[in-house]
Amino acid sequence: MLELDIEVPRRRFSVAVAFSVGVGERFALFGPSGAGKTTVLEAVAGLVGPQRGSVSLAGQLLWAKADGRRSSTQVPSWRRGVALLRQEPSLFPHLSVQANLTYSRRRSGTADLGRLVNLLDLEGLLDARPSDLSGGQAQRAALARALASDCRALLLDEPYAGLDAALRRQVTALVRDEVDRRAIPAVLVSHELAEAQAFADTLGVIDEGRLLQVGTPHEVVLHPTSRRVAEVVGYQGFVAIDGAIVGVHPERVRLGAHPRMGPVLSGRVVRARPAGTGFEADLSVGGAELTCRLEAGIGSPGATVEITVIDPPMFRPDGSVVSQHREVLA
Amino acid sequence: MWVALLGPVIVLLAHLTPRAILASLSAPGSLGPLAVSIEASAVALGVLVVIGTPLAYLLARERLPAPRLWEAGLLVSLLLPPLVIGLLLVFMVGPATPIGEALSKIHLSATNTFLALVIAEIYEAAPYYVLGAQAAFAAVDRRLEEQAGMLGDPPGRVLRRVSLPLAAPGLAMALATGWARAIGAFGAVIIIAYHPYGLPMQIWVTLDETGLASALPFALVLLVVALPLPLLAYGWSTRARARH
Amino acid sequence: MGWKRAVGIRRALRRGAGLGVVVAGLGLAGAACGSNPATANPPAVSGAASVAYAGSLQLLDEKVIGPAFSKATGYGYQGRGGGSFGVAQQIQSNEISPNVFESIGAAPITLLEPKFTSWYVQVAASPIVVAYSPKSPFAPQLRAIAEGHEPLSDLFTLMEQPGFHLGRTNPDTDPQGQAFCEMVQLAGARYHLPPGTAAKILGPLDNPSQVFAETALEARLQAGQLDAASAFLSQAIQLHLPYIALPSAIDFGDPLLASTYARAALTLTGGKSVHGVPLVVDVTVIGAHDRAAAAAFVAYLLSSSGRGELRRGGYSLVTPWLVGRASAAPKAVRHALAGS
Repeated sequence: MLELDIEVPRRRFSVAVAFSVGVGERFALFGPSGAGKTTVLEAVAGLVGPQRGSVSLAGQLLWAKADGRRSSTQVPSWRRGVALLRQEPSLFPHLSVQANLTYSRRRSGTADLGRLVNLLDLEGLLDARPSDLSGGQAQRAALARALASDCRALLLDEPYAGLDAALRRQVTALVRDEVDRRAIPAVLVSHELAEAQAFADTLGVIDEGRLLQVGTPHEVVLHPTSRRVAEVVGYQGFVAIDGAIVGVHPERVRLGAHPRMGPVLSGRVVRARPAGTGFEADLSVGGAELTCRLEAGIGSPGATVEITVIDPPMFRPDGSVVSQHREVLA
Repeated sequence: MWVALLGPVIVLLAHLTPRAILASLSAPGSLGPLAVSIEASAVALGVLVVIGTPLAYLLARERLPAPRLWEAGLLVSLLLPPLVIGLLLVFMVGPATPIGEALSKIHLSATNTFLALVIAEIYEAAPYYVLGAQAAFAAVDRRLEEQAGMLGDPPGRVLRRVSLPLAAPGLAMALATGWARAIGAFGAVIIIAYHPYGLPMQIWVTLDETGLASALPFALVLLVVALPLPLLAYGWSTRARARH
Repeated sequence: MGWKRAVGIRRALRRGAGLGVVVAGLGLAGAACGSNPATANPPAVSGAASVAYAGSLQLLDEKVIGPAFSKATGYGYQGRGGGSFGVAQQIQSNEISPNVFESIGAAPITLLEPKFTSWYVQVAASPIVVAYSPKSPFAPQLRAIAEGHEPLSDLFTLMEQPGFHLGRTNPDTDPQGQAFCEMVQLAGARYHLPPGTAAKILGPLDNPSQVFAETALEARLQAGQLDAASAFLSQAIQLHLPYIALPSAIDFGDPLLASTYARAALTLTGGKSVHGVPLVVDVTVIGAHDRAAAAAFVAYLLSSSGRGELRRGGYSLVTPWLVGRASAAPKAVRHALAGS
């Protein structure tokens, strides 16, 4: 169990978050670049010291400090047993891949290195120098090195940058598997929603140092609790109806009037273009412009269409949520 | 440009005949200054490595309070002419100064002694070594050190397994520069350590006593002794850098 | 600035105009010296005296004699200093090419004969003194000796005490360093000091606790780290150091006492044996460029203005004396010798 409640001052704002991650649980911290995600991981790893708050892992207090006082507890990073995989692989350039993988003197008993090497497709690279590896190979080696150590928590900071889609899926599966087997908490940080969703049991949305909403990935995306969360998770249009503001997600729109599924809007086509297996259209609705994905083509620019926004979140002008059209999901 | 830089060395070689070299070096006592120079520079460099390396590391990692002040101090000692350093050392470690008196209590003196020579060489070489070593450490990616820490290495072990090996090529260059500075030190040396003669003093005194012809061979000896280490360090560090 | 340029133009105009012009210029210079050294309009002459001098002459040459010479004669002046032997060695190996060489003692000049010169003129003598630090614990006694309240022989009993810090220059390279050691020897005989006193005072020839570079010697004396040090009278005056003057029989400042000084002898580190010689300022002209300017400089040293400046600078005046082939000396020099 990883529990934290910290405040770390930064230049523009301070990062103040509190959450906990259970054993075997995968928590994803999702938010725009510069929201303070990496700072949270660094506080857990012991690379930055929060000004206030506490961090504890597996029942051990790693950091505790009351405002303005010297920290009463301060476990240094090398005694925390926290593995952090960053966007840059940070392999030791003067050591072979093999020596990198076996670098930690606190080797994991459960993860046998051969299996990791096999799963991450590193067999032929053990004697190579990190400078000889491609970006993807280096990132896999860095993951293997992190997992080869006997870590009590796994932290991943945008770790899939150098990997192609197929490898991402494979690596995600491997990480999920390892987290399960070792029964350790894992935290992933990403500014890509799909990556965070694919990884996590629990998704936290962070913006400007504040944790805005925590829930299952589905919950957070379908039922954002504020307009800002809605914007961060991909709602692109906000249309005023009867004093409330309807959040429109491009993928939660159906052509035609289906009043049982949600509010029906009528608008004018501004632009339309093919996207994926369907179309994407920009509509002008009551002065606001919104983007939606539709299965079928619609008229040329200037045509008037009716759309139904499926079970949308609705906000007050101040951004807080009003109510929601509920729908049973299959 | 390159030839122009090497001009003095070419002239030196052109002016030396094997006979002159042999005659100068086989004169009684002529190898004494060589031994003195090597010993004093080795001691000076040893002291620099022990004290200067941690200082350089702390500077590079900005772990010292008022780091700019420390750097300014190093720059000042880099900019002071060695002759001035020598004169200031007279007022710092000469007899009748607190340091001089403390030294005399343990029967040491920093006036015309081996110790004085070592001190003068340390002061002439220190800024070159420390600033070089600082640059070498600063070039090591801090995230590599953090990574080693998270993999369970306490700071001392991180230094040994990551920082030092990665900074090694730069440290070797800094060490070589320090060696050349120390063994060639003259300005501060002539002021506080007229004795015992190392090679630079020997060159100076021989020049005054018997002229250029007999002084030049010592310059060649100085070159031969001072140069291999920098060349080796340079060769090794270029190869090591190419490998990473 | 404008003045310098004017000289330059004149120099260009007169280049190749021949000896007549130069001699005329010299005559003018001589007239200027004799009547009023601070002549407003510098005479029309070209060239510069490039003077290499023994280090102890630096301040006097650069601050007093050089500027006064230029003003009086219109010639340019530039100087450089060093140990007398060092300068001679540099001239011999063509590292430097001055046209005047002012040496302490004739030996460095004879080193250059006959290739560079074959004569020199004694212009003054440079007696040595014992300068002391007013901060020294021995200062009261040293002052009493300096003022004549205590006999000079006490100086040598003081210097032989183990706690007495004495400084001197390197006898292997510096005439003053040699003279100081010889002075202690001569004093031993003169004051009937116990045998071995000189050895006790000086220790080995290159005694590391006494021998310093000249710059370091001055710095340490001023810092109070030395109780006393060897110095030329001229240096003691320039640096405002208190000093103990020595009788001329042991101060190496009187050419007439050469035979007395010669009773002292030293064996240098290289095995060479040297005898005491008077510390005279010998000067000669070397090389061929700007020979007229060089000759004018030597003549100026022999003029009443030049001699006055030397005397005020701490040198003792001697009868000017040309040694060597007089016919090789420039006419202006011979003329000045005859006049003085």
